[in-house]
Amino acid sequence: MNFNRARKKYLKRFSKEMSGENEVPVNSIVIYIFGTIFISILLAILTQKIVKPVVINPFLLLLMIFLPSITLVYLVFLSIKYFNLRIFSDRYSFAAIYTDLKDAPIQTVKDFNNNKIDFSIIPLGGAIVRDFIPLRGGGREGFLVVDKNLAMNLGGTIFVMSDLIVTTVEALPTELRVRIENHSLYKPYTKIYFGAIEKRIDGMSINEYLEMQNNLVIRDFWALYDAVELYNEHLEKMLNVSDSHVKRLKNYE
Amino acid sequence: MNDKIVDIIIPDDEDFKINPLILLIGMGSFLLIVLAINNYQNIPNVEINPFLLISITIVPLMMIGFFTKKYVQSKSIHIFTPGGYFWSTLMLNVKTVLLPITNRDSKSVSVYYLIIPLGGGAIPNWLPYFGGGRDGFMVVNKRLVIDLGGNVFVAGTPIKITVNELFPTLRKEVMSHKLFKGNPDKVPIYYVDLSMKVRDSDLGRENTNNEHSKLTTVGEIRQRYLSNIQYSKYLEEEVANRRSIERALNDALNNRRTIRREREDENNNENDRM
Repeated sequence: MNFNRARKKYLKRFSKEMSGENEVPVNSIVIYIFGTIFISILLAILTQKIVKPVVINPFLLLLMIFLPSITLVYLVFLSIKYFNLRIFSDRYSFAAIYTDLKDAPIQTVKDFNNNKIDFSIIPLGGAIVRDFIPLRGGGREGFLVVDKNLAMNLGGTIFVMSDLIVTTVEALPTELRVRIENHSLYKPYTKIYFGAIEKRIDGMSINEYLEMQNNLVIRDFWALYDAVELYNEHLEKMLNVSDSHVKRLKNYE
Repeated sequence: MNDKIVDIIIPDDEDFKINPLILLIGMGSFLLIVLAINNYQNIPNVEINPFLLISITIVPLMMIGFFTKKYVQSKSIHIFTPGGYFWSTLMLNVKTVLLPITNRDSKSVSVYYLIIPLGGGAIPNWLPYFGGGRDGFMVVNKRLVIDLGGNVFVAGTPIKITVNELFPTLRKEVMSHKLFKGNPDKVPIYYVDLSMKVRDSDLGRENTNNEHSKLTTVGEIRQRYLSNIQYSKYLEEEVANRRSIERALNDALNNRRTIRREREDENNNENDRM
């Protein structure tokens, strides 16, 4: 039994499965929508002369057409935003055009101790989805104002490591208030999600907590790695024993 | 001095209890039904092909169902990871699996893994949408899961695999999960075993399998680990096959022995009669 050959064969199969070669790049919603509409219209055309038309009150027809259509448009709008969630915090998740903190405008504010704090100002709402119609409109859901050090880029999404407070622009320090009011996407009475207090896990910041767990996670990883290798060695021994039994039995025959 | 005092105004964002979507649908339906009732005798009815009627009513309704599902998901809590991945979740039916392991240095390590069903959702003032596990499962080291008091942050980049590439004990636990349905080769498993903080140098190990390790990057080591699991799955199948062959050969041999013994007994009986 050539174990190395078997190992290579399975590694090759595994690599092929992981590559995602067979994935279709078109958004699945587009396929569903156009597929179902196409089939229904095709059936309507094909059965135009065979099936008798039905009689219906025009207002009832309007109810059946426009109401689902309005709801559909609204839900599509919400779904696009869902597929485009960019910012996550303790309780909230927001769609936003920004995917990187570096792109967001920054305003420096002095705190009570005259320390300078950089606040990132991110308009919330709006979305751009791959293989789909772009939906803009940033700022419709308010603004996220967060200490830059309390936000982390996760590669496509932003994680706000702060307890967010929902407030209004009037409650912010003067520099921030002026900056937001002059923002091109600002609208009066907009919500402000303000984050300046660090989220703590067991008395530690999230970064400190992760640093503390790092070595333990690596230890767990190697333990599992060893367990699999030891299990394979055990299985190889069992296979050899079984092989020899089979050979012995065949010879006996 | 007054400029520096921050007045925090916290508006009650829960004061509007009814979902605007329900209001919109309800008001629109009511208006059109009233119009239909008031005018059904004055305005003549229209004729329409039934399939066309289906296409303009049933199809949008189906789509509404799909998008409502997405809407509910968008409003429920999320589990998110580095790399831009996120899923809605109910955080119900979460399974904790303890793996007691003795490693090569004969040290015992207890590793805790969580099996979290992905998908489903529930929002306030709205019909609940269950269905956890429809978007697959997340299998993650418990140390990497941070509950933020709503959303859940998993501090490691997930690898999308199938249940067959899981550690044998985890595989059994996932497959016996009550929300696990469908083809095991198609249900996506998002496996998180290492923190996003892990660098290549952190995983350095002088000896792997009593040989100097040639694996240098996190990706290579992970790939090797996952291929080892694949290999163990293959070996399990091979051992099972060999055992079945062994059993079949043993049975055949025993049958022959029995037949031979019976023949010998018959011959002996005949000889005795003679």
